[in-house]
Amino acid sequence: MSSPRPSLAVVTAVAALTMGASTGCYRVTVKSGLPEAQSRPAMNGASRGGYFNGVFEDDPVHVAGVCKGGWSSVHIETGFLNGLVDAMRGLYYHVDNVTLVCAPEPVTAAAPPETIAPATAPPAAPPPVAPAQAAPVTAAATARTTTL
Amino acid sequence: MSRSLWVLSAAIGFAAMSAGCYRNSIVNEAVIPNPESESETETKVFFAWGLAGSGEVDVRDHCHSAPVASVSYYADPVDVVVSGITLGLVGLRSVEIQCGTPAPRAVAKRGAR
Repeated sequence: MSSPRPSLAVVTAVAALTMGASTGCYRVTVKSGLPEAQSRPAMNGASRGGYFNGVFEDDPVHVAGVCKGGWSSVHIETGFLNGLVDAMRGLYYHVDNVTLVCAPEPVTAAAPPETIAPATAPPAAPPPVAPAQAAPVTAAATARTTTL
Repeated sequence: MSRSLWVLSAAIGFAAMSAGCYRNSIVNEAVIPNPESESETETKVFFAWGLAGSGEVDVRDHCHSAPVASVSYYADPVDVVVSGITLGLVGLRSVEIQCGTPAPRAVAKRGAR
């Protein structure tokens, strides 16, 4: 008794499903030209979409509140699972995965030159004064202040 | 359903589709859209239900040194029709880029783009 062999259509469908699940559909990357920040993406594959097959978008991504130094790139793709969910939902709601990579934040301005201490050796500490000599000076100063 | 109702439904559907399906937008509030320059659209071609095809867009090709006010990704009616006719073997997506000028408060900042 021979085991049933899968048809070519089934093999093709499984291959297409595997390939689709491992990648994504309609992948678009928009680059601004700024370098990428070292930190994690501000949005990493966030699900964003809209009603009536994406005609009415939920709310656009507001970059200024997320990336202080501007944005470097935006990656949008229709994930395979998103496609499956779309097919089940019909035209009701469409979802894409959005990844937003920020640019490095600008470095804060350096202090003005006049506030920077000169690169000279620190002033020498005054020579230590013996307690026996210091006491009369202090007493005299105190007396002078009192009389004034 | 009467014929007029069908026509009305088709008109509403087409008007809604004209806005673009699958829309996702990125807006930079630190940049004011330039009213004198129209937004530029770049169409990307995909194959096999979007599994193959390049979707790289560099905004410097459109805005040069100007900052970008917004980027929108969608499928316009032509994109949808092409995808439908080819049963998804060929799919189109559009990327719309609106250039602008830095907002006054953000002029001094580097994050204008």
